Order: sequence, then C-alpha cells, then structure tokens
Amino acid sequence: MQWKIRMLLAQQIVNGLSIGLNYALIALGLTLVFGVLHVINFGHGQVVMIGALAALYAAELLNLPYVLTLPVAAAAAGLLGVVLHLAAVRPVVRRRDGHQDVLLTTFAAGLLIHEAVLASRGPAPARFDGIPGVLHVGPLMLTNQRLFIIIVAGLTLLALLYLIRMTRFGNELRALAENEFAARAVGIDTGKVILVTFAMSAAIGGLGGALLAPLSAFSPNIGQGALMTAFVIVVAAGLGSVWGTVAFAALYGILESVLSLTFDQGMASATVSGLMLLILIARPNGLFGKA
Amino acid sequence: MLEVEGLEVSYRGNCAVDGISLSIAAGEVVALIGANGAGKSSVLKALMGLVPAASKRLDLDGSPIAGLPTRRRIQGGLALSPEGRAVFPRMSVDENLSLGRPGGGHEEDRNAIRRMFPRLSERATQAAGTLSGGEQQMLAIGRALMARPRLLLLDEPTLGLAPVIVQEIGRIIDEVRAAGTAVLVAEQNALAALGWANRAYVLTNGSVTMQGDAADLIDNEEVRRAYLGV
Ligand SMILES: Nc1ncnc2c1ncn2[C@@H]1O[C@H](COP(=O)(O)OP(=O)(O)OP(=O)(O)O)[C@@H](O)[C@H]1O
Ligand SMILES: [Mg+2]
Repeated sequence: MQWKIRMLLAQQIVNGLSIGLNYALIALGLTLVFGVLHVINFGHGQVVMIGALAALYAAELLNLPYVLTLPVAAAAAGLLGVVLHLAAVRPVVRRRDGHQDVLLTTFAAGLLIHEAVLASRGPAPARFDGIPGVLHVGPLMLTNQRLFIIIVAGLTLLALLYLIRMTRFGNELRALAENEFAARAVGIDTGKVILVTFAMSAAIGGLGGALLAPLSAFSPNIGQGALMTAFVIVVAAGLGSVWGTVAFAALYGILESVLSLTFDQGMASATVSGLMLLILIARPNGLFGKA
Repeated sequence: MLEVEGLEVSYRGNCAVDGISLSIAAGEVVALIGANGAGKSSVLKALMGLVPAASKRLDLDGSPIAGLPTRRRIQGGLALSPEGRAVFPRMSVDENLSLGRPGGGHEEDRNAIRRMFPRLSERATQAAGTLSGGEQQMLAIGRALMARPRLLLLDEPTLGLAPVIVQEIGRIIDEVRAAGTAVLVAEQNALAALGWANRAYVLTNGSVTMQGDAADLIDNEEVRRAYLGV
C-alpha cells in the first residue's frame, strides 16, 4: 500500500477511535438502564441533546470556558434523567406489560423535550466551540477536540468500569441486572439502584453530547442520530454487555471513519449499521451476548 | 423470637396464604412442609417483605416488622436462602457472599463461611453460575449466613439435589443451630425436613392443617400417607 494511503488510514483510525469512545459514553447509558430494568430508554437521545444544549448555554450565558461546561452538561442531563425516570418510567414499569409501555413513555418524553427545545430556539444549528487547535504528529493531523474526547471519554469509561466492577454500588447494580428477586432478597434497595443508574446514564450521555457537538455544530436534532447509533451499538453488542458496548462503539467509530474515506458520512454510517445487522443475523444475541 | 398471627398473602386477589399463625423460638429448627403450591414460599417471602402481605401480628423479638423494607428485616436478624438457589450467576462466589450483608460483607464472616463450606472456599473467584447445583445451594445458604441472621429462612434447600447433598444440608442446619441461629425450613421433602426439625407446621392450600413436634408428625398416619408416601 502506498505510504500516503497508509497514513490516511492511520489518521482515520485515530479519528474513529475518538468518535467511537464518544459513542460508547452515549451507548453505555442505554446498556446500563437495560441492565437494571430490561427496557430501552428511547428518551436517551434527547437527554444527550440536552447535555450539549446545557453546555452551549453555559458557554454563551455564563461565559464558562468549554472544559467547565462539561460538568454542567453532565449535571443537567443527570437531573433530566432523574425526572425522566420519575415521570415516564417508575409510574408504568411495574404495571402489567409495563416494559412495553416504557418504550412508549420514554419515547414520548423524548419527543416532548425535543419539541420544547425546537419551540424555544428554533431548528437552526448553532456554532459550538470545543478545544481549538490541531495537533500534528508526524504526518498525522488530529484536532485537539478529538484528542480531548479520547482523554475525557477514555477516563470516564475507566471510572465507570471501575465503579461497576469494584464498588459496592457496582455489585448491587450487577446483582440487580442478573437476578432481580435475589437482589431484593439480599436487601438491595432496587428502587434506589435504578434511580442512580438512570441519573448516571443520563449524565454520561449528556457529557457525550457536549463532547460530540463541537465536531459539527449544535442542533436540536442531534438526539435522534445519537439514539440510533447507540441503539445499533448496544443491540449488536448484545444487550446489557458493558464491555461489549465499549468494544463495539469503538469498532463502530473506527469503521465509520475509515469508510468515510471512500463514502460520504451518511453512506458510511449506513454501511456500518448494515454490518451490525449482519452480525445480528449471524448471532441473534449480539457479538458479545450469551449464545 | 418470631411471632406470626393471621398472615395473609394474595396475588391479584388469589389467596395463597390464608391467615396462618406460627411462632419460632430462639435456637429452634422448624419445618414448614406442604405440597406444590401450598404456599410455603409465599410465607417465607412475606416474612422477608418480598411480597405484599397482611397480618394481625408480625413480631421479631417483640417488635413489629410488618411494613419494614427487606434490608431492615435483614438488619433485624432475618435472612433468606431463596428457592431455586437464586445466586448471581456471573458474579464470583466471593462477590455473591459479600452481597449477603446489606452495606457489605465482613472478611471475618466470609472466612467463617469458607470454613463451613470448604468447597466454596476453593472456588472463591469462580463465577457462581458455573458451580454445581449442590454448590450453588451451599452458596445461597452461605450468602444468607453472611448477614449473621438469628433466624435463617431456607426455601426448599434440597430441591433437585442428590441424597448425599441432602445429608450435607442437614449437617449445615445442625451447625447453624449449634451456633445459636434458629432455622425455618420450607420443604416438600418432608422426610428430610422432619428429620432436621424440632417442630413442624403442615401447610395445605394456604392454611396450617397440622402442627406439632417433628417426631410426632413423622409417626402421624395422615402425614405419612400425604407427604412421606408410605
Ligand atoms: N408471583 C405470583 N403471582 C401469582 N401467583 C403466585 C405467585 N407466587 C405464587 N403464586 C401462587 O400462590 C400459590 C402458593 O405458591 P408458593 O410458591 O407459595 O407455594 P409453595 O408451597 O412454595 O410451592 P412449591 O413447593 O412448588 O415451591 C400457588 O398457587 C402459586 O401459583
Ligand atoms: Mg416454594
């Protein structure tokens, strides 16, 4: 292969890893909620959008530097996650067929959020500045924002994996995901674990939104795309698998970036989704799910 | 230590436990025997606060526990080893054990459990789902013991297990009692349960139809015909 093409490929792999880790933050929110409740939170995409919007307002109205808008994004989204849980999930999930209802109520809550944002500021995209500048490593060129995403998303994922595998809360979360009755029998406060999981999932989703937006721009419509990408990733990875989600999100980002060398962005995403579909046909429980 | 009067459990209007009364003294082993669907598990779950229940009286050591969340009942001295083992299959043996105590298990308790169940101690880091049925039952009992209960509730501990393991469970119950913990064991295997117990209640369609010393019940004609198959 020609040297130039190889460099281009290496660059797209790094770019893809960056966006893949960002997808992982967003997709893990779906995975964790699925783990404890066995439902897909179809409002998650709009939570991601609200995270980005909160960061945008924090920058515009409070003049906060970009880095400091990230905690604001996570907090706003986390709060919204709690509201979403209390308003759209908890009241219906224990009902007969409650799990199906939750798909609808979270979707409806998402629509409501989306419409509210459209009504208040219109559909026009807004410029969203992240970390400026470009890093040159030899012939490779990496924007500082993408580098920043790798660092922040990477650290957040590590912290999250630590929380899940090594702490009491993580043990309770995994116990609840594996056997709800046994979890209640050993005295785990399952309602609290579910609420915290919702808040945490929303917070990392909001962080993901605020990290992702500078790569293009803020638009009230970024939630739908984020949800679709996250959904494809968690389903293909095997619902509920944390490691699978991270690995698959990285793979998704890299494939998408590499394919965008020859296809346009939309075609690249569609191709990756198609590949994921093939995986599901071959392994109906996902690549990392139990066979 | 446990006083129960008029305990009722119903599921969507279907009555599963119909106003039963029972009492358990400290250090006693009591069996709750009955056929499939008699309501044994419902009684144990109601004592733990795991199903909605009504009662005239539900006292642990003289204080009412009705309405308390499960965690508080565990802190008050109850612990349940559920029917069908119900371990956390993808978590390790040690992680399962530490979940037995709200707020986290203590190392010394875990060591005590390991001494009691040497086979678990050899498999501390193994995923619980890869244990044999007997080992999973031991783990479920060990996990309940991690809470240092004063009354241990065992739901169908012999279900699907070989006779040697059933004997092993008898040994464990003796050991638990010797350490001062009372045991309430729900069993379809009436012969085994009556062999372990001081006293027993016979549950039929949600009501207590017989009760008394285990030794007397073993000799009782009706019990022999209905539950011992002789
Ligand atoms: N969650 C539930 N929802 C509806 N009905 C239930 C539920 N749990 C138990 N029941 C019903 O209540 C009755 C008593 O069930 P329970 O499990 O307490 O019996 P059991 O004596 O433990 O039986 P087994 O020996 O088979 O374990 C049964 O008729 C059962 O079908
Ligand atoms: Mg039962």
